Amino acid sequence: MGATSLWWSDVKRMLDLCAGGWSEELKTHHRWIRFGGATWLKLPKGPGTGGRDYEMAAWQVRRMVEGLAISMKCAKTQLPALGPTKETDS
Amino acid sequence: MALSPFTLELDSIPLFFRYRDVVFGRGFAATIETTGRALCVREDDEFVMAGVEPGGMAVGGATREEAQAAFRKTFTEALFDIAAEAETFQAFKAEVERFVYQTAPATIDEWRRSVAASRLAVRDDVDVPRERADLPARVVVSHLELAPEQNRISEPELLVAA
Repeated sequence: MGATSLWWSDVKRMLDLCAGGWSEELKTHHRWIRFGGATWLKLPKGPGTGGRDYEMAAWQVRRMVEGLAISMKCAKTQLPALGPTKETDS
Repeated sequence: MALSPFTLELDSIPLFFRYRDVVFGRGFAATIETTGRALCVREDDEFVMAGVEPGGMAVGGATREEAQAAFRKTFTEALFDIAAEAETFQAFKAEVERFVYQTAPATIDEWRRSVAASRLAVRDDVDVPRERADLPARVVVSHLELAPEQNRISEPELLVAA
């Protein structure tokens, strides 16, 4: 059984809608995502250059949303693969 | 096979980690001694080591041990990435402290729930290293003074096998 995965292009669209002002930096080892003064240092880089889309496991995105204190409700609306909305989602 | 320290299979195990790293940056070398917090959890069909402090990284693996090893490697890579861009030792130190102490409300809540569950499930008859759950994360970044007598990396030493 494979894990649920998401495309980087869809994740970026979610960030645009749910994390206004977010930015990204490609580092030597990982892709960093910054939002609201916090940094997520471990999003897969994929092919890195060339702008080609690539997939990542949904849990990686879910953890990033939590770690950057992005609205989980908003993220799940944009990316249903993150799981059903819970009452505790902000 | 080692006996599990828990009476049941926990979905989330709260862990402290202690790492010591040596990193070379632009014109400086530094030691980084870290006591951090992380959760080892099941996510889909993977085991994930998710940082609480530092709260900016989560790493997966096929087993708990794989996830823990990948987390260790990623932590050091993060330090390398920070060092690559820091203009000075002070800038590096400030960024490492920001990285280690960063956390998020949802992650802290998850840590508390995980600690409560593991306290109920921990076995008294298995001796495992434990730490107080309210121990704060701590990072000490020190300038590494390289003494000349310790810096002889290009002087080969030949020994005769006798």
